[in-house]
Amino acid sequence: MFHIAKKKAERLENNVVTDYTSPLWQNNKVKSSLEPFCSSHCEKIELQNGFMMGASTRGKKHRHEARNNDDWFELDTIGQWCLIAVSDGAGSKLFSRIGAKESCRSAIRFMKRSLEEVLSQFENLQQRLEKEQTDSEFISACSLLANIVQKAMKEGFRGVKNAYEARRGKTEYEKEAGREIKISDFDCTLLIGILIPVVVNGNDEHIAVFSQIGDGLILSISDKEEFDQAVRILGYADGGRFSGETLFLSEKEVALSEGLMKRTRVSRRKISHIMVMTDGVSDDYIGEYGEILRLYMDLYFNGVLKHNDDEKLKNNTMPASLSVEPTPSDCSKSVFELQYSKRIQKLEGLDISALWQNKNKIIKTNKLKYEDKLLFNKKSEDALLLWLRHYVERGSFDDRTLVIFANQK
Amino acid sequence: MDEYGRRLPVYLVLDCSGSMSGEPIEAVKQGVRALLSELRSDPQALETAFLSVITFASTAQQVIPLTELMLFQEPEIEACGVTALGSALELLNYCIGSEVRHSTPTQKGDWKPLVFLLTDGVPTDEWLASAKQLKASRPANIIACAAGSNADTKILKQITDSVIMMNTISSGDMARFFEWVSGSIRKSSRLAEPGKSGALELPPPPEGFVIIP
Repeated sequence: MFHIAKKKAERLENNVVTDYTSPLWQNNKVKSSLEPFCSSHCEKIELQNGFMMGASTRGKKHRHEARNNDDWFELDTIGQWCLIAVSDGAGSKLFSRIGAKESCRSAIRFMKRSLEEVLSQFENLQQRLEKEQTDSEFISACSLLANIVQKAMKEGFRGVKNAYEARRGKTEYEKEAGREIKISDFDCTLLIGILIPVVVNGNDEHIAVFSQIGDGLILSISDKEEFDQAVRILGYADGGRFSGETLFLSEKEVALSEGLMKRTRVSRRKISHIMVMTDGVSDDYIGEYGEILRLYMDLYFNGVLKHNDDEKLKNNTMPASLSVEPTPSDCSKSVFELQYSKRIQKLEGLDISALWQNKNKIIKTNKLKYEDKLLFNKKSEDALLLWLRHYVERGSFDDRTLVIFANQK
Repeated sequence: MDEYGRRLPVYLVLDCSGSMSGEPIEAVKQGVRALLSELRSDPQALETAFLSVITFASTAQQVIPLTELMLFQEPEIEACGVTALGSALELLNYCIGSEVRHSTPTQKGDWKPLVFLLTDGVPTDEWLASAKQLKASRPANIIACAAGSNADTKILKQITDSVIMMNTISSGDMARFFEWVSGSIRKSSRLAEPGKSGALELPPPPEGFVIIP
C-alpha cells in the first residue's frame, strides 16, 4: 500500500531562480593544459548578396568547472556557395573537443574538394539546379550534392578516428585519462551542409543540402512569410527519452549508406536565413511549431541580425531585462542588457504568431529606444558571440554554437 | 524552452522502519540537511535539481513531491514499523511515471532521474514484481545502498545493478553517504546514449563503502 503526496509542489518563476544563481556562477580559465582550446571565437564571411557568420562560446557549466569549450564550427565557400560544419563534443568525454574540431575540418575539406571537382566536370551544374523540381537533371544534380554530403559525414568520422590514432599510446593523453585512451573519448555530433544560391524562373532561391548525426538543429527561415510558413527544419536530431541522450558520429552510424540517406535533406525555396546550431542553443527554443522563430526574433530584437529600415515609429515602451555576466573572481561584475522575445510576448499579451507578425515594429522600437544598450552598434559576428555568451535561460549552461547564413537580396 | 525548463529529478527512497530508530534515523535527517546545504551552493543544482522524498515502513509514502531545491523543506521523518520495500518500489514507479517528463519533438524532457534507495533490512512485503519491473523498464538511474549487514544486497541487486554497502549505520557513515549523494547529483548530468545499458558514471563511493559486484 502506498500514499502519494497530497498536493503538487509549488514552483518559482524561472527568472527568480536565475537571478539567485547568477552570482554563484564562476568564470574560470581552463585548468587542463593538454590541447586547451580557445574559450570562444567568431567569424564572418561576406558574400555577394549576404553573409555567413558563426560564433561559439563556453557555456556556464564549463566556465564554472574550468573546462574547455567542446563545440566547434567551420565555414568555407566556393564562390557564392557556402559550406557549413558544426559539432558538439560529448560532455563526459575527455577529448571530445578534438573530435568536434577534426570532424568539422575533415567534412569541410572533403566537401570543398569534391565540389571543386564536380564543378570542373559538370559546367552546367548550376543550371541543372535551377530547373523544375520534377526535371530529371535537377533530381540527378541534387543526388550528386546529397552524395557528397553523405560522404563528407563519413570523412567527418575519419577525422575523429585519425585524431584518436594520432594520440593513442602517448603518455600525456593516457595520464590525463588515467588509462589507455579510446576512440569514444573523442565522441561528438556533426551537422554539415551546402548552401547554393539559385535563380528559378526569375526568383532568388537557395538549395540547402544538410545532414546531421546527433542533436542540435538545422533550419531555414523565410522572414517575409506568414508565421505558419516561415520555418523549415532541415535536419533530424537524434534523441532519447531523456535530455542529454543522443547519438554520436561513429563507425556504426556512418557505415550504412541507407542510414545516411535518411539523415540527408535537400530543400529548394526562397529563404532569408539558414541556422545551424548545437543543442546548447536549440534546447532553449524547443516547443510547438514556430517556437524556434523566437530564436530569430531574439537575434533581431537585440541587434545581432541587423535591420536596415530606418522608418521612425511612435515611442512605445518596450521592456529590457538584465543579465549579470559572471566574471573571474578577481574582477568586478559587469551588467549586460538583453531583450527577450518571451518577455515581450508575456508583457504585451501576444501569442507567438502575433509576435512574428509585429516583429518589424518591435525591432524598430528596440533600435529607437535601446540602441546603445543592446547590440545594434556591434559588428554582427561580435554581437552574435556576445549574445550567445550572455543570454540567460534557466538550466541552460551547455556550450553554445550558432552559424547563420543571411540572405540580403 | 517551455515554462518548466529541464529538470534533474532526484528521488530519495528512505527506509524508516523500526530498526532505523534512534541514531540511524537521526543520521538520515542530518544527512538530508547536509545534502540540501551542499546542493544549494551549486548553481547548476539550484537551476535543475528537483527532489522528492519517499519513505517506507509499514506503508510507503511520498512525503515530499518533486520540488525544486530553493523551495524544498526538510521532511519530518520518524522510524517505526516494518519494511514495505515492495510498496516503496511501486510508489516510486508511480511517481516517476506521473512526475517525470520525457523528451518529444516539441518538448525537452527531464534528465534521466536519479534514485537513491537506502535500507537497513529485508523487505516484509511482496517486492519481486515491482523490482523486476523497475529493472526491466529502467525509468531512472537507481543506486541502492545497503545500510549495515542486515540489509540483503542480493535483493537490492534485483532492483538495480548499482548497489553499494555501508558497513555500519553510524552517523559518520551516513554523513559520508549523503555527501556522496550530493557529489553524484552534481556529476549526473552527463550525456548518456539511448539504448545503451552501460553503468552510470558516478564518483567513487565513500571510504569504507563496498561496491557490490
